[in-house]
Amino acid sequence: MIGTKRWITTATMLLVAGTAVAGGFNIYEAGAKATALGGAFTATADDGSAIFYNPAGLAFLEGSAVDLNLMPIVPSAEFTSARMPDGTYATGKTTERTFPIPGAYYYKNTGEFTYGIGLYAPFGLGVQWQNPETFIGRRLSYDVDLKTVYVTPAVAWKVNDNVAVSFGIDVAHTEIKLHRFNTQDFGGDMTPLNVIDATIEGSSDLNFTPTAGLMIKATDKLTFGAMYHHEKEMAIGNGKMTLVNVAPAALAPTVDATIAALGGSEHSGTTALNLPHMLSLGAAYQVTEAARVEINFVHFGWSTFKELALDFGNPMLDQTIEEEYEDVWQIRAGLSYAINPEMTALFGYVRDNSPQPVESMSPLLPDSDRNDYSFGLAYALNEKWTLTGTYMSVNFDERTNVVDGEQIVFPSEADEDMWDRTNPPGSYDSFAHIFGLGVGYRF
Amino acid sequence: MRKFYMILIALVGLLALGCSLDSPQVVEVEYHQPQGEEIFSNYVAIGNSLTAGFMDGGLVMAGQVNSFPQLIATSFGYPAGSFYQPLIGSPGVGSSDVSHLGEDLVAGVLHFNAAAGRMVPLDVYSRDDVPGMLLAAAVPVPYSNLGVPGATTLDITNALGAATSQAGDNSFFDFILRNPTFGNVSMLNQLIARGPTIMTMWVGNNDILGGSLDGQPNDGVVHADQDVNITPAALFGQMYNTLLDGVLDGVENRHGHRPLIFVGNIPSITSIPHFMSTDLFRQVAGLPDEATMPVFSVEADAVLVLLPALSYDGSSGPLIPAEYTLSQAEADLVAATVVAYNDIISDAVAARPEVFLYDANAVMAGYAGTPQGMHFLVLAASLGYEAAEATTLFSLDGIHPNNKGYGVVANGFLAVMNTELGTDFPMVDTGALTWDPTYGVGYGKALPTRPSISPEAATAMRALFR
Repeated sequence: MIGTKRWITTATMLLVAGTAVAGGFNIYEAGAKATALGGAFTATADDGSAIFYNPAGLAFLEGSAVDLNLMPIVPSAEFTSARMPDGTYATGKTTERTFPIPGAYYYKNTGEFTYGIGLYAPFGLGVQWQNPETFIGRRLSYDVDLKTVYVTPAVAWKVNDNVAVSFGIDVAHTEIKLHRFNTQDFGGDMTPLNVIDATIEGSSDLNFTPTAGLMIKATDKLTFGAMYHHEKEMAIGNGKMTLVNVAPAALAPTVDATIAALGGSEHSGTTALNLPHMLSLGAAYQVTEAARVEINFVHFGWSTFKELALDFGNPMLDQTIEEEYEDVWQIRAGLSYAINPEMTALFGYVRDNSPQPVESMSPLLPDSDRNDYSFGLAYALNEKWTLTGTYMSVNFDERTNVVDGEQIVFPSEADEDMWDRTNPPGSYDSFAHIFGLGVGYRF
Repeated sequence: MRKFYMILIALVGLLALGCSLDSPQVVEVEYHQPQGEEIFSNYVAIGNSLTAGFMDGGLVMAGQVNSFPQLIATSFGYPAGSFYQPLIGSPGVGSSDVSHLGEDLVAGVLHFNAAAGRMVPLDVYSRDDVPGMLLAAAVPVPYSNLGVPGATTLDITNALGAATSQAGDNSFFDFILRNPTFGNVSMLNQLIARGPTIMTMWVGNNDILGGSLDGQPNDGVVHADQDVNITPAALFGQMYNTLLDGVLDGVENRHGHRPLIFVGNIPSITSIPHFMSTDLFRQVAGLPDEATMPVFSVEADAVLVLLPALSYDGSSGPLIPAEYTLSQAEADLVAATVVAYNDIISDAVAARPEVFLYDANAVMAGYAGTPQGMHFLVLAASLGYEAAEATTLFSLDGIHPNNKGYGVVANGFLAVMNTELGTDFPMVDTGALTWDPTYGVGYGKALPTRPSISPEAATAMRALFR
């Protein structure tokens, strides 16, 4: 098991630096073709990424195939604080980074059964703010990196010519790393002094949960699909907090004493990260020989993500970050149009509702509702090779946590002075480019 | 086919145009002045020894628990322990110069030792023991009571520790501001960091008192050949107004509201028991009358004698040195400076709607010449120990109130608050506040005919603000 875990870590974690581009910190982009179709793929699922979108689709594919996808995500976010008491505004901008999201699949049709295995990263988060030493939200997070990889072996059973079901196991691993500053309130100044640079990191045990799919070809033109990935509780038992004294010389001895009083600069801890179930219900309709449309309704059980409880066995270090996410539905729509036998144009649209209540919108994860627009081209080089290129723009609604002149916060923060809260009042605007390249080889 | 590519190019163009990241719109938060009960939610006090709860020549928990800010906080309904004070364990820390007894020694508070028949320091101990007596050193925020004994008006904005205090070595700044832990900032900035909604500010006393206790108060005119040791009124006025604006603007710029400030003015310095008339001094010290002994001090025209002079045996010893007396000109200078300061304070209050005046001068004037305004040693001669300690409002140093006296101060501030804000916070029951000048030793012996002050106690008192 250790060997397996190490393999995942070395082979994949270096590649998968996640970033949230679907609601919460979900990444629904598991394949280039599906992404071009706005992720509306549950009732089509006709390439290897079916292992994520609906493994039952594998049952209707012939032969064997390897599908390799790489979807670089380029997110960006900006923050503008509410007008501060001194009349100024604090701003923040994330660093420009590219997160390469993988989707690697293999399947083999043996007739009645099709076997497959896939590696993809359906959850991830990467928010790194520029000028971390002065960024106003640095006491909560100035750099967070969450990576989650799923490896799913699945089997699809073709019940008859029109119906297939599938079952698989989602084997998942998570790594998380969070950087923040502890500050000393520098009396009278709006910029507290950084005294401790704290890093919190950990990785989960392997987690096993079921996944299932169903595909029904109701008529020659109409197909229904359903997919389900079970929710997960990723237990992180090897958490570590490292405290580094970054105080100016005059304060350094005091901060050293503080760190010593906390029990030293390194602490072990545990936490658990709850990941939601994903349920997609889709219908696809072959409008003409060339044109196919699909619509998916995707349900995320985000209400499982209530909090992130960091337990270091020390009340001075323990922290519970309230999240209180809510279940959400997304609508995903896709259109494919075969221009000729080799080339297919793909278009997609997503209405993605954020599961994040405004109270927990923060520099850690400034989420909001969004509209995604996508298009792509799939090109069959020959009977074996297929290339797919994709682009998706993720357009976040601008969102603020200030309503009627007051910051909306959880009751536990209500008594704090607005500018003493670690989560600053203000507005976020975010945007992401997603590019995709898929290579398929059928044999 | 061509049409398709045209559409594709148009799509890419549209996306590229529509997909830039905009800076988010600025949102406005509402800053509002605290209203109703909210006004009293965050009380912080700044000032000097009078705010700190300094008593009997030192800072010790027995006095601090009855500091007037603590009594006000209790009247506001603050739970015990929630109004943070720099509590100091017994025998307390006096601002004492006892180096003649040995290196690095500190005197505790003064107490009345009946067996010896005089006032002495409760204990003299190693400076190294002080940190262990600082009972609230770990409070993680700046204290609610930021009063620092010896603080001058300049110190409020400038002193970060002993070395930067106006006196040059006032260690109380180290104990109370706790720099560099709090970022090497002044009392003013620690106050601003706390974001008070209501506060008391009683400063200015030491700008006059330091020179007065020298016995050589000097504004540069009375003793033209000596250093100025009284802050000139014009400079005080400039600093005081700057300080008030610094507090109001500082809290507003940091927290979005302006605090309500209740300031105390300067009580008459020459009326406090530390300064005795020559007649009273002759009586207490057992000196012959003026006809028999016309002169007992170097300053032949002395009109006031300082309490530490009781450490001299004036009847047979040398003449009392000039630093233990005030001449008429010196007393007039002190009195005139108090008047000038109070005019400045009144004008500063009138100019600012958030600032209100507690007329401490008027309140204390009401006690001048009454038994409550007299020193314990003086009263004890006529009333006996128990009645004396139950009557006087002043502590053994003759400058600072005792517990009962701080109750009177708290009631003075509370009365102004209730009047100005329409509240009905309960007054402190001063009758319930007791003071033990023996610090647990008890009396057990009759009052000597000539109560006195030990040389150590006298030195300690003279060094109160240095």
